[in-house]
Amino acid sequence: MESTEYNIYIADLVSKLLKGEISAEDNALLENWKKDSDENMEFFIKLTSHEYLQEIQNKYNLINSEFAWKNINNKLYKEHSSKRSIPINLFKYAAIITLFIFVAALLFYNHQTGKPTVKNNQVLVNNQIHPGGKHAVLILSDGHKVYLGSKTRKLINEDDGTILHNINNTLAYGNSNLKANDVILYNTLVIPRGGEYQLVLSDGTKIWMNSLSELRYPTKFTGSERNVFLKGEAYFEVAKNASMPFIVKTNKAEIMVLGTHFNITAYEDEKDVKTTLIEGSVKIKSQTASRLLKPGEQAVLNNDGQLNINKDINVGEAIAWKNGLFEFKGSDIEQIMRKASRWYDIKVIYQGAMPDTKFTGRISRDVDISGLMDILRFEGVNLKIDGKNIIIKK
Amino acid sequence: MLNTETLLAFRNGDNEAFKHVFNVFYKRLCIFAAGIANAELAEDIVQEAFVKLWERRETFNHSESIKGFLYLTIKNTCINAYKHQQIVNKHLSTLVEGVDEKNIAQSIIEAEVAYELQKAIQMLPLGCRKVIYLCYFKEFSNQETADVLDVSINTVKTQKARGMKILRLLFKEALIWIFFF
Repeated sequence: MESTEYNIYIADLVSKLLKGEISAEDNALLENWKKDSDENMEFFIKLTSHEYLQEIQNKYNLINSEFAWKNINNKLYKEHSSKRSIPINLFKYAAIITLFIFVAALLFYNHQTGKPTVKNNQVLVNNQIHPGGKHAVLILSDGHKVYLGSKTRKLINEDDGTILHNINNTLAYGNSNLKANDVILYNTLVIPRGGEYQLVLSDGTKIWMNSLSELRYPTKFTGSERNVFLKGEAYFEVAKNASMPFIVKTNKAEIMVLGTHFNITAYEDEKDVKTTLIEGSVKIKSQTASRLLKPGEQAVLNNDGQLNINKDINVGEAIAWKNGLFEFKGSDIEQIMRKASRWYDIKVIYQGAMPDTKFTGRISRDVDISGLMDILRFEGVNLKIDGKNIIIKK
Repeated sequence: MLNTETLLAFRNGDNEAFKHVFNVFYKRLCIFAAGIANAELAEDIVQEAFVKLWERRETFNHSESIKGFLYLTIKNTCINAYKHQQIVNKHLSTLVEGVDEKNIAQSIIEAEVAYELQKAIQMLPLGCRKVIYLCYFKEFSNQETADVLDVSINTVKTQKARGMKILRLLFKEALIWIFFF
């Protein structure tokens, strides 16, 4: 086992080498260390590469030591009284959020200014529009926003003591110290265009969120109902709790369940709110009607408030997105492009009348948009990719 | 690193001296901790280590022992936090990356090298430093750098040449890797 002192000593040798200050003796020692193991040699090569030095330099510059210094002084001079712990927490949040805004601004800025002409040309030449990925923005009860992605692994504390884990593209809610009469805190998970994310609520309910969707929910469920508010599309696996029904509220409908698996599509740019039941039973309520759904059935609530039940549906099509697929059965070009535009973050422009072909098929959501476009072209659709626009002609 | 006066003042409980010690070590320790623990936990762990350092400030005779103490304290806290997380998260499929000896050794080296490189850049005059930072670390073109700093493109070119000359003296051959990849 190597001691901390030994590692610091090796680090010192590497730094000396980088500065060109290393003596022949030290250099021999460093050479020995490199030969000690393949791991050492590999790490040495990685460490002295341009990319790596640049990366650690950027990391170094992003650390906010001002907040940290204040934090330490708070801990030293104001002792650990419980009253003081709130501002310390706020500092921490502020520091985290400032860092995020800074990183976001940097990324955005780089994106905007970094060799713009070259990048535009590349887009025109390659026409590659990449598929979406694991992205979400969490809005905490105090309004703070936290970006969540596949590479962010973190623990977040809510004001009521709830601990949120963000691991493996899933945001999970742990226990809180919430008492029965405490104020209930609401969080909102926002999925942008080109994003998807998973969520595990405090009761164990699992939710898969699709692109351009939003879910508002309490950090912990109290009272006689579990209410959540949905815009867009999500697949639910509701944890069973017969004494506390789970209710999904959308703009037009309420879906009440006791413990079941189902998919809801409630996008504002779609005519219908569709609820597809996979397992268990749900009750769907519009302003005027109320129906009970059986597994394999789909409830369709249209713009006029009419509620119809489809018994002959392809359940696979409704939940294909959750399994990483686009699946269409007799869909028109508009339906397909609406789904594509949410996932690929593109704009669709129709020139002249819409082609009236119906399409049936299946394609992975992991391919670049050109994959989907090739299939449509093969089917006779006249389309062109221009930057982030897809132009479709009759 | 730390001169005798600063060290003495630190041992005697001078807050300014403590701040100096903090500034010398804090950022690189964050890099170290982030290499072996979750990023947000990392900063808390480092700050906690400074609180402990302050509480036993009278026992340190030179800056090497301060550095050793900080690295060791952070390493131990991270290992304990990792063990704790394993228990807390046992129902979740993936855990925080393992804290193994290889990881610790590499994170220490990474932290120290980041500090040395930063120190060398900090020694450059300010205008020069900004140009070097934007041109090489942010990969801006001369024109973009000139626009951001609101100076002429010729100023950018001169500052870049000046900065490179100084950095080349500091880093000798290594600079070939750092700037002329």
